[in-house]
Amino acid sequence: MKGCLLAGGVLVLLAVIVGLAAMGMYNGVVDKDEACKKAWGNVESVLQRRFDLIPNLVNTVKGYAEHEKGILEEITRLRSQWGEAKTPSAKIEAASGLEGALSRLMVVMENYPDLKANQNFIALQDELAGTENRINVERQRYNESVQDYNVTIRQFPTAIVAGLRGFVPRAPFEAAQGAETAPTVQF
Amino acid sequence: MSIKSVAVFGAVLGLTLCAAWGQDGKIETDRYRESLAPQGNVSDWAGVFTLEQKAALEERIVGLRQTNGAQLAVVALPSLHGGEIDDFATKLFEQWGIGEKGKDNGVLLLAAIEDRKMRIEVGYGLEGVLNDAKSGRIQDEYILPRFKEGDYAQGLIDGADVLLQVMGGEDLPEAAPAGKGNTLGGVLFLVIFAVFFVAIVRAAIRGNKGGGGTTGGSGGRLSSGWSQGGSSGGGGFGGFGGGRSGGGGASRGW
Repeated sequence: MKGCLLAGGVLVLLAVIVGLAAMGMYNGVVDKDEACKKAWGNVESVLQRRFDLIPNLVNTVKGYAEHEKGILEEITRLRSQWGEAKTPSAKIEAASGLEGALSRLMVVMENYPDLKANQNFIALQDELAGTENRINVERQRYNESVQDYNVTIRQFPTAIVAGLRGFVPRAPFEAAQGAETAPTVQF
Repeated sequence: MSIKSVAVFGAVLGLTLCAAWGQDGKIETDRYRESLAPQGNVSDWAGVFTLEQKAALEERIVGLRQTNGAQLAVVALPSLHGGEIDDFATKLFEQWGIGEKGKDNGVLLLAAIEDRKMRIEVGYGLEGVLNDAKSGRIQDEYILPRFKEGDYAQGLIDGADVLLQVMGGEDLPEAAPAGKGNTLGGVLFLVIFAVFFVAIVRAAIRGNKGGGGTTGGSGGRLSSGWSQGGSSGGGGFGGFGGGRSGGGGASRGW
């Protein structure tokens, strides 16, 4: 009888310890998951910032560079594509398309000295370069938190808790092909 | 798999790693950046400032810090050791935590003299008052003209003074309309600025030499406990406040 009580007590104690440990691990995973969401929010807001600059950029450039209509139309089209994108992967796709078009625009702008001397355009270039840099920074920070989260949910013993609660690995935000560097702005 | 093929594989792997290591220079620049600890609000590893210039600028930065909490770090480096200025500035900002925690009201003015690259990096909390376009204009109008003459100290001082104004809530003077008036106005402004600056520095130096006596003008600021007076070391500097930036600001080369 006494032995049974003792064994039962030990079992209860063990269960409590395991439960507490599992709770700690679970909370740790939740924290890291939330950190990823927050970092993704920052990425989206800097991407949004880039799209917000487009109308102003297009209007400024239009008056100077009649020949570049094609590229300006493409940029406007990509912007509306961003408006329709709902999922993160669709947003990433729209963002990288625009990134390529913008860097091409910055290259052809070299041919318009009047435009390059325009105060408004210089300011826009700075805003654009700053935005590209912000995107890089937030993307890097997002990827770091994703990596941290992914490692945690795959490591033993957290993996058991994560698996039970249905935590799946998150996808990092890879830079667009050939767009690892922000569109360079030459002066 | 024979031992030989394993050895060859190992050698190829090793060489590839070494090549990648040396190529982008990232490791070296990171190590260099991590070795940097702030000397004060003004950190000069490139030897551009005289002791008086450094102390005077330090006083003005401390003044703003005491009135509204915003923190400006002025940093002159010889080189980035292979790093990119944008990336280097963001990481140094984070490493030092410029600005108050939670408010993120810091600004980093960084120049790598030999690389001929500079950047104004703006903390999250100041992106509203100091947007990228303004950061770019401050460099174009106040700093780069001096840098092109080789006067790095004056360029950084002028830039820092304008930054302090903007961080203190004043507006950046509007750009004069394009054309001849532009350069004339700029020159005029710089002259007025220089005269003002010299006066302030003189007052500051006199104030320091005068010891405990009260001095006119900027003397009031000088008696703060934070000030480093005429000494150059990191003596009274308590570090920055843990602020963060997210890549806002603008970069230039000259």
